[in-house]
Amino acid sequence: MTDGILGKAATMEIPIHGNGEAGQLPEDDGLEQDLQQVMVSGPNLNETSIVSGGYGGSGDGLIPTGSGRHPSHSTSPSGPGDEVARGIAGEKFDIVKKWGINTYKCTKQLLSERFGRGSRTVDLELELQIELLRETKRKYESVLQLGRALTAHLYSLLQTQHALGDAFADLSQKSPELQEEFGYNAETQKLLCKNGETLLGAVNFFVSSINTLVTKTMEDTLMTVKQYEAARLEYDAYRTDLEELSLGPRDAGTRGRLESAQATFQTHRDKYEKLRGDVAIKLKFLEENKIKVMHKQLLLFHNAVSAYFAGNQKQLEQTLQQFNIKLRPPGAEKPSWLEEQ
Amino acid sequence: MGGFFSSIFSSLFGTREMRILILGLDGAGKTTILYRLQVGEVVTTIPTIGFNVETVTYKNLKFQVWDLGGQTSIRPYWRCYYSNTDAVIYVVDSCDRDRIGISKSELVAMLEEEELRKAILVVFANKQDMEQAMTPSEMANALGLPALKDRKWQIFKTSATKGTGLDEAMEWLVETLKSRQ
Repeated sequence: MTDGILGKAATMEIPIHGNGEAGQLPEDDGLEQDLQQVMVSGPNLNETSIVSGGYGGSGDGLIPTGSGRHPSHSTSPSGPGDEVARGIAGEKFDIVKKWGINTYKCTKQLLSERFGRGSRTVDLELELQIELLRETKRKYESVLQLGRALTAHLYSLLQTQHALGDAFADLSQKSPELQEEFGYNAETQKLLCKNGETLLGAVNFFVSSINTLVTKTMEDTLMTVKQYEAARLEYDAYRTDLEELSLGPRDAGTRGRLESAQATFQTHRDKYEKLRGDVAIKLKFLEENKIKVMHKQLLLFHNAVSAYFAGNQKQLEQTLQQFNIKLRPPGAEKPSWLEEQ
Repeated sequence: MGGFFSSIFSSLFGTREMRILILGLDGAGKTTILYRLQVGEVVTTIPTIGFNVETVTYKNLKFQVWDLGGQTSIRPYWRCYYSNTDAVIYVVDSCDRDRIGISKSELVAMLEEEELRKAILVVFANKQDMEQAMTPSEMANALGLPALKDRKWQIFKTSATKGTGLDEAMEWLVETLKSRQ
């Protein structure tokens, strides 16, 4: 299964030439969000700057990696405390430095993609599936909202029927001439109310299950997609970095840097490939789960609604039993689930 | 006084919704347990292809519970769902002596994953209603539980079909998750 998926998913580089009209608001918003995503974690470095003129020339504006100079050792005697302090500070400095370099490279890559100069790794099949998932999620969110609106309407209707039944019952007591007529109208409203509560239970279950599907199951896969997209950006940033170094002169100094860049690139490539595989797997599992959940829920919804509007109380109750739905009377304390048997 | 206010605050702010994974070999009873927790009844199940997800409310706490298929072909993909997991319910068939070694291997491999480093482990020695079932202590040893370091774990004697043991297990899990925060 996996080999088939990965085999089909061809990876290619597509140069981006034009960036459409300048100053489009939607694109600017997207760029802003992407920039924030790149910057999202780590310290704020005032020293980080974007070299605006550096995209055309090879190697211009690049910060060399892995060749930071450490200050020369002091001639004064140093105790273990000083060593430990210096070690911790050095470690933190290295972390901050790595974060800064990574952020710089990713920001540069992001900007070059946006302005049409950079190349971007594209997995067309996977990206189409991801976009389809996002669209599907939006549509299911609409269904969820409509389902919630339906439960609100049903609840209001039940309240009204309940009040009307009470009013009829009260007037039945007070109007001997109309006692029978008020009486059976009261009974009818109460029966409608009872069946309505059953239907409301079914629709609530439907809404709750769609909510789990959308906000938990789909969201879980989309979290992995976000990780994949971040990994793709890093991979392309370091790939571009490596390509630029490769085009430069080959001397003793640059050869070391080249090897270091190659190793760093390979790490990011491995991460990207793993996440790409994970996304492909999770998309397939999600699709199967969606079909399974929706098959059950749509059957439930159809059976409950049609039974209710047919006035078939027995069938309505059977529907809830069939789907193991329990109704909780409002106000009743919730016992342990084991005690409900 | 401090305890009073802290309990007030914890009830006021509530707790984040917890993520639980139910794992174990095929046929151990994972899906039966999931729907026991959700609807309180024994639901007819078929072998799980992929996974099931349900939102479960227990003692007014909300959990999102993921039941991942336990067949050989699905187990390698468990790792895709480890992120943000608060607890693992590991279900073992107490009558399946032949495969308890495999179950141990899967458990050990799973617990070595970085993403599950902080996850609480609850082991269900399931199908204890059967006469030939192994005892929980036999199973704990067979699974290598006593050797676990840096892991909060507990094993419970359960029967998902009879409904026994699940309440005690969930009580322990809830208390452990609360005390961890």
